[in-house]
Amino acid sequence: MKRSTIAILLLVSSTICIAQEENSAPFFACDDSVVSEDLGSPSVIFFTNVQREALRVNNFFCNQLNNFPDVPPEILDEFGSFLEAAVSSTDFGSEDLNSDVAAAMRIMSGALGEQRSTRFRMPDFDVEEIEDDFDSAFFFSVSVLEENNFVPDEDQRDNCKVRFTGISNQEPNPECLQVFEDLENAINPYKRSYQAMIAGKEEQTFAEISADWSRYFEIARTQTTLDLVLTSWLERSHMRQGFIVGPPKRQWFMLRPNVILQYHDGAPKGDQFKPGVSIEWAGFNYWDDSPLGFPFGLSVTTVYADMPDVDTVGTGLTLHVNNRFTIGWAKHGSDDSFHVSADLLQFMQDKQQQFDKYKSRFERFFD
Amino acid sequence: MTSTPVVLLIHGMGSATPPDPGNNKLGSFGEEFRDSLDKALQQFSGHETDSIENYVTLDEFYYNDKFDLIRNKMAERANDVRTRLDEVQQLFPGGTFLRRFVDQFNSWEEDFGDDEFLYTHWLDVLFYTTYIGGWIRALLAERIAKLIKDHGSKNIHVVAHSLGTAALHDTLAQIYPPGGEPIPGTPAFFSVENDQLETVWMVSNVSNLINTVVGLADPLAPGSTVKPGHGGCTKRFYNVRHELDPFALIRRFKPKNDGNWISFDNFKLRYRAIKNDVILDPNTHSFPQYICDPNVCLPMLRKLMGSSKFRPGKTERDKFIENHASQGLTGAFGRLEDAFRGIDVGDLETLDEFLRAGEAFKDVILEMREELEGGS
Repeated sequence: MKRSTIAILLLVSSTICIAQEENSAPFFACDDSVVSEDLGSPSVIFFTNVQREALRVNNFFCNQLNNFPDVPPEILDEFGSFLEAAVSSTDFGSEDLNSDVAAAMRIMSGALGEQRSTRFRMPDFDVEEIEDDFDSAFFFSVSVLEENNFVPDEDQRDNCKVRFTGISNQEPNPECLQVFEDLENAINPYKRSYQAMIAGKEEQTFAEISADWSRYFEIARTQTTLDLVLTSWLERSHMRQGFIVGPPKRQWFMLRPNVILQYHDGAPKGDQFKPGVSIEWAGFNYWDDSPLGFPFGLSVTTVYADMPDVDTVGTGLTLHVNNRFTIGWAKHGSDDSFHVSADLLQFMQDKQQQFDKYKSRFERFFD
Repeated sequence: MTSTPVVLLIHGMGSATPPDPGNNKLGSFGEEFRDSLDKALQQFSGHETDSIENYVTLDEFYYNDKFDLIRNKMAERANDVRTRLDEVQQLFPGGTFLRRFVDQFNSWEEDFGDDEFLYTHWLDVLFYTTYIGGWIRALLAERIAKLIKDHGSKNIHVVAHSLGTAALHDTLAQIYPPGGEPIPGTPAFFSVENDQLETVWMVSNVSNLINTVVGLADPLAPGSTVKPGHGGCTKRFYNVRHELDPFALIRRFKPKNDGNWISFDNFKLRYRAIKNDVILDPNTHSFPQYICDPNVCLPMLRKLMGSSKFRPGKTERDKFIENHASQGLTGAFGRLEDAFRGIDVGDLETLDEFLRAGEAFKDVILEMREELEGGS
């Protein structure tokens, strides 16, 4: 192969590689906000070994997340097994309480080992105070679908307190609640990266939907209260879909008064073009996408304008284009009228002014 | 990122003023919340100069501006039409239905630009029940997602008041699908296993009432995910109402402990129905009055600050409760109760009745306030 050919091939392939690298920039950053030493959480005192493992899992997982959804879930299964072994072997001061903790860890481990394809299962280990009497009564559970609540009684809490008294200089006389909160703070950071990544993606999606709504209220036809109610009713199946949705594709109108400029060909010269009012009896408007490929709407309309020698009231159809311009036709007995919205007239006037400006420049050029 | 808990505040109907996060300033709703809790906290020893903001970050979801935008657009448009209607009025001989209808309707929308109670309060409720509510829910979903991303779901507490309870309920119902599995077409969701919020506080809960119009999700259905515990979107759920708050009476959110909404155990451990009856202000719907009541602020402070940071003894707590009760307006309870008998709020089931009751309630409060001011 000629050297020049090899050089060209190398150049092309390196360009492709650079492009791929640029295009495959990570979408999730394993930065300090999700992998720092303690994730900012309160210091763990009694279960530092658990915390260490949870942080290791979180950090490892974090670095894999840019391969999402092809992230191996095995590390979660391993973490579940670790929790069962490490936490279940801790003595909490009484056999029954130890047994309940072991049961909770089995539930945790079971969930971590049984992963689904749509989203990883990463439940919390929860400790909740029963704050009725402020006496540090509490319960603990795992946030899986299946119900599980473990409520240590007063004796168990006292024995637990005794068991952990003097173990740590940092907290020499902890309540049993504090011991369990320590365990909670040790375990739960394992999921921080994953939750942050998922929430970031969801936030982006919701932001796009919110932006659609903003756009709708900016550019769609302004509605009256009646229009709002009618549209909400007719588009209710869209709004009630069971998830967050963007604006409906269509707007609906009824009994809607508008300002128009009417041209009536039956009126005397000089009186043919007059401002008036129209009432849209019923109509619709595709404000964005439509079967025609551009925003359009149609209404059945009656128009009223003060013109001499003609039937001032006529009924016909109105076409709305691009949410701004309205052009319509109405029948007044044997005469026809046409009407436009004030916006369209302004648009035409602006265009006319522009045309006149160019025309005069052109004419000056030839003078 | 910090592990400091965050409290997301969602205001109700009315003219709350916006927060200014760039300058670290709360809006009026956030200030009411902070000031009410601080006032309570500072009555306990060791916390005389303390503030809840030393323990949590307050984040306000402000959506009033969306309603204002729409209100003003409608008013502007109606004004244009009014001008035109006047010019062509000879075309509408007196007494025609159409001119009367258009006049009536149009003049109502023209008034949207005013700051009257109706247009700043009731219109919010009306707007939310139309498709405009979809915009509010999308924005709230975005905010909740951001907070979960930045703080982790276990650090999030949400406090909603009045119309805010409906917005919160409907949003949570739409972003937490049952069983943690999304239905086809779902663009984004959170898992009831992975992403449970720490607490939800519904203050003067109108979600059940508003759902009769919006129809998104029945708050009391067994399949609802807006509930505490397993299969729910939060670990704890506090439903707060004042005994004489008419908005909380109408089509009340009142789950039964029958194993349907949630299990018996979860009902006992994770759900709190808090009922206040002390009246410091004739406006029993008032948010500050709700928050400063010991039935609310004591568990709230404990939950937000943690058991190791807020640990008043029983004597101190009892004294606090007694002090609060002693500030109640003498005779106010009986007076309001009588007034409500006249309004007949007992069996109100519809939004229309809700609005009419609200107007009557407002008149009673204004009257009582005037009497109080006259007597002081």
